[in-house]
Amino acid sequence: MFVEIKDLDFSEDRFTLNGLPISGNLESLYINLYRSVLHRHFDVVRDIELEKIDQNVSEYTRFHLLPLLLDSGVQSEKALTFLEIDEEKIKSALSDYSRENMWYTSNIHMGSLAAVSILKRDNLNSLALQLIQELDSKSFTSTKWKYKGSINRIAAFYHYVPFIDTHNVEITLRTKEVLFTDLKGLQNTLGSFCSPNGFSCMELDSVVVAAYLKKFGFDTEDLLKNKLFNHLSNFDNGWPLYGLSSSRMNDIKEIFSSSVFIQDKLWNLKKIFVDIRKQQFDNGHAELVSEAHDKTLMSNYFGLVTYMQLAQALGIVEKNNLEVFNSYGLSYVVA
Amino acid sequence: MSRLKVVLLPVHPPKLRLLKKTLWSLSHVKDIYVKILCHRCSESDIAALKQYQRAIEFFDISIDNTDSNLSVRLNRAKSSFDIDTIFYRIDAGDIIHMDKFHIVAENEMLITHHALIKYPNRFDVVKYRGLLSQLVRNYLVHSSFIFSDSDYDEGVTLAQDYVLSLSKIIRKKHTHINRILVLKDMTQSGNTINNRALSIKGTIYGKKQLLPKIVCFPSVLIDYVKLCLLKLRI
Repeated sequence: MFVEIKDLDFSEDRFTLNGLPISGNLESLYINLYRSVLHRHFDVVRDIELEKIDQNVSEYTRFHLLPLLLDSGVQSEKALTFLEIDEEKIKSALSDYSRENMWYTSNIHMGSLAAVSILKRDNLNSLALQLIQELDSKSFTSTKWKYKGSINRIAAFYHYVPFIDTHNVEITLRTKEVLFTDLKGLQNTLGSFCSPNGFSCMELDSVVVAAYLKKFGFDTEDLLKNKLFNHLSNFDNGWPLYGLSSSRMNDIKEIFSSSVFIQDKLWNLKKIFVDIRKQQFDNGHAELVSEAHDKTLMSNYFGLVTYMQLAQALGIVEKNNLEVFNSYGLSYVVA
Repeated sequence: MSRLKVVLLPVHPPKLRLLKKTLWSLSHVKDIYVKILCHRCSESDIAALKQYQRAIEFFDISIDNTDSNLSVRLNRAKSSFDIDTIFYRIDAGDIIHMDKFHIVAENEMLITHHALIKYPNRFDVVKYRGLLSQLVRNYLVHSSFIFSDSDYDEGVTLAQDYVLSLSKIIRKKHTHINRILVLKDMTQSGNTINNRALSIKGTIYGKKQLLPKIVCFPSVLIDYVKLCLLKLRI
């Protein structure tokens, strides 16, 4: 009723409304997957044709693609075969990993935990639980200084939420308190969670983590209501990758007066001075290019899931008839 | 017994395409009565609006194709409700924060709050700065108005909200809340030079009615300068 597929999707082979047609194999796969999962939220099923994956595709990308394939409705065995992910690779991802940059590692873990969920093997389940226990003992914090802030931690923890929430894995109160403090420090006057006025990925991450914490009695209601207001304010026939700011001076004042870590302040300063002036490449892929304030297939997809999570967490009766389904990844909505 | 909360939402055909966003934000709020005041809308416009009835619990469309100005139409809409009804004045295109409807106006008070303005390339936060600032420039966005038993001055064609707020501030019947609870979409404002001129004239009219001469003169002088500058642009 209020948001429709035609608001969020573009013609068949484009990543943005005015973008060039996509031709690369991997990029084409990504836009098909983003499109497919977006449509699935409107209860429309699309077929995904899988040709052989290029051999030079990295392990990171393979694990990143797995939840998207599963959420598109591709059968689990077919998805694992296509991505050439076997038990050894899953075990390696779960046990041999770096905590230098937890956001990066968590992307691989989201995919490997999706594989654990679908394979249902005891040895993998044990490894998964052991992994989460280890990460929980460190509150999902990165070891490298530049990644030690709130933004990295929230973005990292988000990738574990589908597995943790689905399987009721216990997370310590200490970690939850740290995450709650992170969220409160990150939200700005406009209601978004990073400068200048939100970044699709970070907004989704923050909202899902806030919804997860709400289940355990943390008072994230105001955070979620402010974000709902911000999210609707940013909507204009789609959600942009980065929202518009009030002014550079206001952004700077807000960054310096916030209670977040210095790493987050530096990250946000880089956003407003450097990143939003450059072309953006989704997950580093050259053809998935956009300008900072463009609406892309990815930002519209993430924006839609963010909205659905807000509606769910705030107990709003959803009037758009959007479909929430059992997701292993980026479409996950905490009930 | 809880008081009825009514959203007054005037709309005319150029703004109809913006109404969907506003109704979307209102659909998240329970226990409010949304009254759409259609002015010169066609039957097909009305039919298109009715599709949103199932999204909002209490939804009413009134149609007025007379030449009455907006003040008259707003007062007429208000008069159909009980005296202790709380009114929330908004426009098509506005996005409303859920918490706005926790605010209740009593005893002829006008309550306002901060507003966010959306332009094509940025947002602006508009904050009330006190009576003196109001005499130079209006910092109260009418979409932030919450009131109960107050009527608009029907002698004012545009700027009726400014006149209402000025009268309340002078009579110490105004409270401002320091929270951003509404977004006003000015990306395609359609505000013509003629309308802006009428708005300034309304402001001048209000100041002459409400302010002592010693204060009125310098304040109104600024408005006349703005009017002259506008006329130079025509």
